[in-house]
Amino acid sequence: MEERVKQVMAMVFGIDVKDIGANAAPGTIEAWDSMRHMNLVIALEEEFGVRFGEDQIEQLISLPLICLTLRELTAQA
Amino acid sequence: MIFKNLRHRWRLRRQLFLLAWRHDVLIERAVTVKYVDSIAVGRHCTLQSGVYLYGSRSGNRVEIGHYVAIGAGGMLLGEGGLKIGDYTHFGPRVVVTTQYGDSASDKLTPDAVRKYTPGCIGRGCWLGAGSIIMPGAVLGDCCTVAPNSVVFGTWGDNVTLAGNPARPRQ
Repeated sequence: MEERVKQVMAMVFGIDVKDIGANAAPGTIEAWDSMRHMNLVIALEEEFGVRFGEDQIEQLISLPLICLTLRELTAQA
Repeated sequence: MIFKNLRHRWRLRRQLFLLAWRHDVLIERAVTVKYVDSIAVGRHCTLQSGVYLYGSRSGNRVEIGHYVAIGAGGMLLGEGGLKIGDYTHFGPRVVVTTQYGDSASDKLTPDAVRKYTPGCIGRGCWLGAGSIIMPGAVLGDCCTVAPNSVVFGTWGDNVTLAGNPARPRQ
């Protein structure tokens, strides 16, 4: 799952997958601003076939948190 | 101060004249056009009353296809580059923006940091009244956007979007 998330992040942020670390967050990826965060949310929903709630959208602020939330959502499905 | 405003109005009138002179476009009342040299408009397009069409100063292009109708009060901000396909219709007050402010930068300065991301709207799309197409959004051909939706992200052909953030609907 983490690799798939990294692929989506690389596409949305326009960077190489290898530049995305295990603890990637807005502080470590310059292109991760509020606008691209929304693009990332939409792209993740499409890639994984899930729907994030409004509260979850605000919490997706690092790669580990994204993976954790996706695991929860995919487990519920 | 008054001369500054008069000069500005004269420049805007000139830009509007150049748009009408160069392109086959029907322009209704109170339309504003800026940076016309970066704008290309196809055949039989309509800009309804109050449309604000902003080109690019930074070398990007605003390309509008054939038979495109921009509804009354619409705003197209094309600084980051914008492409609109043929036969696409904009309802009233649709906003398409390709620029946004860097929320992490110093806002109390005349040189606040702005970011630009190109947008693309496919052929035959229908955008409902009041919808907002955000920077970097890409819509495929024949998409429909419900009124007052806020569109982020990349979408394929024949998608119907609604909500904020807009998501696919059946």
